This record gives sequence, structure tokens and C-alpha cells, in this order.
Amino acid sequence: MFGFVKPEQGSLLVKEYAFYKATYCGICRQMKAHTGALSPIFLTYDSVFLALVRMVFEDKKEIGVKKGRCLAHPIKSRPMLLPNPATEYTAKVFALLSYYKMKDDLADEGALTRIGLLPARPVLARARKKAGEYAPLEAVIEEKLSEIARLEKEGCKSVDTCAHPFGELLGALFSYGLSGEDALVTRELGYHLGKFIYAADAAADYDEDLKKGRFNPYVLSYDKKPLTKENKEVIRTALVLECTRMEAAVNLLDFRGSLTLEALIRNIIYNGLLNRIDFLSEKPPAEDLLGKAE
Amino acid sequence: MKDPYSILGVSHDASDDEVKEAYRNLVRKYHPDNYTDDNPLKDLANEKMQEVNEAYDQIVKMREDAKSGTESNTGYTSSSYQSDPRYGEIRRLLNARRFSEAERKLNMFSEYDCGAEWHYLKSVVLMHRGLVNDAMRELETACMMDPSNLEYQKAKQMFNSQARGYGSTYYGPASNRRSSSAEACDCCANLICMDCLCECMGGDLIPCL
Repeated sequence: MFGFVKPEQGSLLVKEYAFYKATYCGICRQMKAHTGALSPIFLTYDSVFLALVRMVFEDKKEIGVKKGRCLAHPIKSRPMLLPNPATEYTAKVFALLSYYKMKDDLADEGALTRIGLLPARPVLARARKKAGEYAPLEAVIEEKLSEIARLEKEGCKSVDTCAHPFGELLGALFSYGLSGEDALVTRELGYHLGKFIYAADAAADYDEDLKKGRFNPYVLSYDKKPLTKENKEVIRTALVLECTRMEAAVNLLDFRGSLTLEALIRNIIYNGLLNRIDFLSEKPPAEDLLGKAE
Repeated sequence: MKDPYSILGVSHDASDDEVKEAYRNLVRKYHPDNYTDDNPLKDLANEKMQEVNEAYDQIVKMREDAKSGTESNTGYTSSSYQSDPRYGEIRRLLNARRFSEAERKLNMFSEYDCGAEWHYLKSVVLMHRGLVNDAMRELETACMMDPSNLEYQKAKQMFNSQARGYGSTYYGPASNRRSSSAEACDCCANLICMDCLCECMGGDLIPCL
């Protein structure tokens, strides 16, 4: 479910991409500092998006970059964000999310996956303990994930119903601790991002889930038949409509003058997410390289 | 007139689900998308499609009448099904933006009763509630069941073009997108600039500035 909320690197300015990478490193650092030395192995690109959105609300003076080395990249020093509340929040929240995700997987994946997951357990359990200050959020995560598990067990065939709890979950993560307009906008952004992630993920797994007989709301709603080109086009349109709701939220987000954050956030929701659902359309790959006439 | 059951290739005691399944399979078979404009079989396929639609409508109507005990009403024509008064009422509710009432009414339909129009109206309700995935699925079903209906096609095209236009409203400074409206702004700025220059030289390009 994780790891594809990424920007399209080619469409970013070099400084924007540098900031993106620095944020990634910054979150990694924060995970080391706050959730245990081994916890960064669970770091994903999705977390950077959360950090970017949360940084919009931070005092810009708090966000600094410094060059440094780390264990994973000992040779070349690279820019990384200095600790700030947004990256700290992201590190802790993703540790929590990874813990509950693992707990879920342990409960319903096959034996092989379960054995593979076992070493992760102590690492994440420790991380969760260290992120203990977010008890209300933890309750939400647990509740929403179990709601998803319940819907999957019931064999729900409505994609929107299945995706709804995950949307609410991300909505809560994005808006936690914010108030007023900011909370409203970020909750909406997170909600539709969550729904998008869930649905796009299900669409991507269609063929595999169909073959293995695993639960997938799309497979059920298309009567367990292989998708035609037209079906894919319809699914794609629905997913893009989900994106337009994210766009509507971002349009109301007060970026407080940060052009870099705005460019990154918009790049991710416009280009990054659409790249993720490329498998649903059949366009010649050269089009992107050459650019297209409007 | 041919027996509608034999057109769909099912027996008279087939369950509602079996009838629906047979109908869907036939629709898929004769769907206009399978027959391009230059295909000499196009007209034949259209005819078949119409036959299948009428047969299905007829079966649905007969079974509904049987259920509600109004068997005396045998004067059925396919058009009377299509203008089901319940749909008219639901459309009125939708026009009045009373979506939850419309949805309640839609949910009262029995499953074998759900024709193309039902799926279309359902998609309108779902779209309004922001359930885009389910809405598109219903719209797809409506278009598949009645491919000749312009209203459904138009709705589908509208959403497709909305999806195509996604992201094009952003003309941020860091964006790689070049848009006509950004250029329009540049054009205005240039004109104002020119006007200033002209005024410096004692002339005037745009008198009102």
C-alpha cells in the first residue's frame, strides 16, 4: 500500500528536487533519533508528502538545510533538513502506521510473509512505544485499519466503501493538531489521497488478485472478468476525478508564500499520482519526453 | 413477435440473475464498439442489440407485473417501460437537488428491475456524494446496457474531459507547464510596459493607462 506518492523528478526545478531529497533525509534522521536506530528501513516516499504538507504550517525560520553524511551514504555528503516539528511528526506517525500495518499483515497474510515479517516486529514495537504521545491518533489508525479488514472479510464490492476508511485515516494524519481552515483543507486532501492510494493499489493488483483469488473490490465489481481497455479507461477517469478533489483542496491551502513547497505538492498530486496510474492508459511513452502541444 | 426468452437464450423459469447475466453477455457481444463504422455487419449488430434490449425490457416488465399481481395489464410496449414513472419522479428529485431522497427511491428498485436508466441515475447520486469510483462503474454499466443513449454517453464524455483537463489550471512559477492564460498575462504586462515607455517618450500607446 505504500511507496508511490512521489514527484515526477523531470518536471521539478533542480532546487525543488534537492529540497525533496533533503526532506527525505531529514525524516530518516528523525526516525533514527525518535523511533529507534533501525526504524528508517520502513521509511517510504509517501511520508515525504506528509512532511511537505505539514511544513506549510511551520515557521519558515525553523526549516533549515545542512549538508551531512549518514551510515547509508557514507561517501558523499548530501543536504538534509535540520530537525523541525513537521519531520518529527511525520517520523513518529509513520512508525505508528507501519506498526499497525505490520500487525494487520501478521494477522491475515500467508505463513511465508508472516515469517518474513517477524524480524520487523520488535523494531516496530519499539518505534511505536517511542511515538507514544499520539494516543488519539493511534486509536484512529487501529479503528480504521480494522474497519478495512472487516470490509475485506465481508467481500464488499464497492471500491468507494472499501477506500473510505483509509481516506479517513490519512485525513486524520494530515490534519492532526491543526485547527480551523488548515485542519479542514488538510483533512480533505488526506481523505482523497487515501482513497486514491487504496483504489489505485487495488486497480494495480487486479490481475494478480484475480489469479490468486484474493480480495479486491474491483475484481468483485467487474464480476471476476479480466479488464478490457474500456474498463481501464473508466477506472482511470474515476481515479483522476479523485485527484481533482485533491486539487480543489490544495487550491484552498494557504502556502504562506512558500513556492518550493507549493511546487512540490502540486507536482506530486498532478504528475506523480498520474504516473502511478499510467498502467490504466495506453499512451505512447515517447509523448512525455517530447512534450505535447496543448 | 418472437418469445423474449428465446431471444436471450434462457428458459422461462430462469432466475432473474440468469436472465440478467444472459442479457449482459449478449450486450457485450453485439456492442457497437465491436463494429467499426466500415464494418458491413454494423447494421445487423445494431438490430440484434435492439432486439436484445427489447426482449430484456419485456421480461423485466412481465416479471414485475407478475410480482405486483397486475397480470391484467398485458398491453405492454417497450416504450412504456422506458418511461417508467418512477424514473421521472427520481429525476425531479435530482433536479431539486434532493439527492438522499432520490437514492432512497433508487434503492427501492428490485435487482432485476435495474435497467440502464437506473444505473445512470444511481451514478448521478453517487457522483454527487463524491463516490467517484462507484459512480463511474454505474455509468459504465448504463452505457453498456444502452449504448445508443446520448445522455449517458454525454455524461461519460464530460467526466473524461474533466479528467483530461486535470492539473491544467496551475500556472505556478515553478511549473513546467506553459499555458495560454499565463501568456495572456505576459501579453498584458508587455502592453503596460510599452505604454509606459511610450509615455516617457511623450507619446501614448494605450490612452486610458
